[in-house]
Amino acid sequence: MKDLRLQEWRLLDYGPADAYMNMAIDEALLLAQEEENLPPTLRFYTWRPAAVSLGYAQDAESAVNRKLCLQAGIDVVRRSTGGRAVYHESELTYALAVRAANPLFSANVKESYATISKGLLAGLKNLGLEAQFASPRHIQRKQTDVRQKNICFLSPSWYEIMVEGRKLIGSAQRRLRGTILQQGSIPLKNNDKFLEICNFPDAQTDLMRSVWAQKTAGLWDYIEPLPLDKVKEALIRGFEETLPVKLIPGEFSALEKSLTRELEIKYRSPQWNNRNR
Amino acid sequence: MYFSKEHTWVRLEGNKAVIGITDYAQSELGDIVFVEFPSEGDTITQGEPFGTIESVKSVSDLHAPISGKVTAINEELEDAPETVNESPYEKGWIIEITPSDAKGEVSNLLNEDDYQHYIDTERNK
Repeated sequence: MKDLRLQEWRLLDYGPADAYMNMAIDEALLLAQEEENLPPTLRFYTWRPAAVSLGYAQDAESAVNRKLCLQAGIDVVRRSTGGRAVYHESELTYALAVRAANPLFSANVKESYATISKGLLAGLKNLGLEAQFASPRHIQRKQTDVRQKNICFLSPSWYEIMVEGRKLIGSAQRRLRGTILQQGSIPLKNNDKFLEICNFPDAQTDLMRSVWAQKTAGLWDYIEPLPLDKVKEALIRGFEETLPVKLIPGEFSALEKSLTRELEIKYRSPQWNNRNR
Repeated sequence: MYFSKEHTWVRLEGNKAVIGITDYAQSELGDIVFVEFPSEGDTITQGEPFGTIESVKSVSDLHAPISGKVTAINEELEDAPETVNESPYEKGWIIEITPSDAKGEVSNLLNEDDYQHYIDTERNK
């Protein structure tokens, strides 16, 4: 019988940081869950400067055009979570770190996404949006175009949140022995600038642009732009309305601070980011 | 054949051991899209991560059920990672090792019945 008593989760409401720091903090949260008796933690943050994050197993060379990224001042970082390349500019990002033994979660990946999605869907409803949690029946494994393989938003909707058939929230997980980190990206403006730094020949870029507009969305495509605090409040209420949780603003622990310092070195290193498959 | 609580299995075959993930693991993870192997010659240690396995939208550590030196990796999984889902105990094997202390270390693992009981408990928690 699952223990569904009210849980107190820690809320960390952060502002902007660069890609490397963002990834270091998220991994610190994940590692600390194994080491210390910490509550499940939901963190919000944004990205400055704009960045591309690559999935853990992606090939660094083919995923995006590194030269164009450098010229445009776009950081490129590899995540510890799976999935594909995601562009982060005008967006709100969430990260959830929790133990797999938590009664609301499980070893089943799809179920864990479904749990978190409940909170996100209710949060979006609070903002006036009707969204769906998508899991495709059919698996498309073999994708012949390596560039298409690389772009998260062009992939089938694996456990994602969709509005009117367009992908709004994309997420990815990392699991250690007994802990789960889920990171998710909520674009505010649907920005196709990303396509310019992908390795498409010019003719394909126009095609990709129209596909992008059909398949992806930003929050401001559906609602009037709001201060980010209002968006976060709506999402927090969504979690508290649908899951037996109460989100309480908290602080980083001393261990998390020290882990972040070590992990920042890793995430800034070419050895980590330039990994080739 | 022995099973770990981290959902890997080991089959002892003479002086070598074959390692993979269990049927329960592949079913919980979902469709496998990538396996990150250690290199031949690497040493792996019981209970410690030796690689990762990525399913659709989740990257998980692979934990060594016993210690030893890697002698082979299943290269077929590079082009066909879904083999892990289709045949987790046979064609979907992940690495082969020369164990350093198989007899001693298997005492830390579960037999098939105990592993089944373990996952039944996990399912019902």
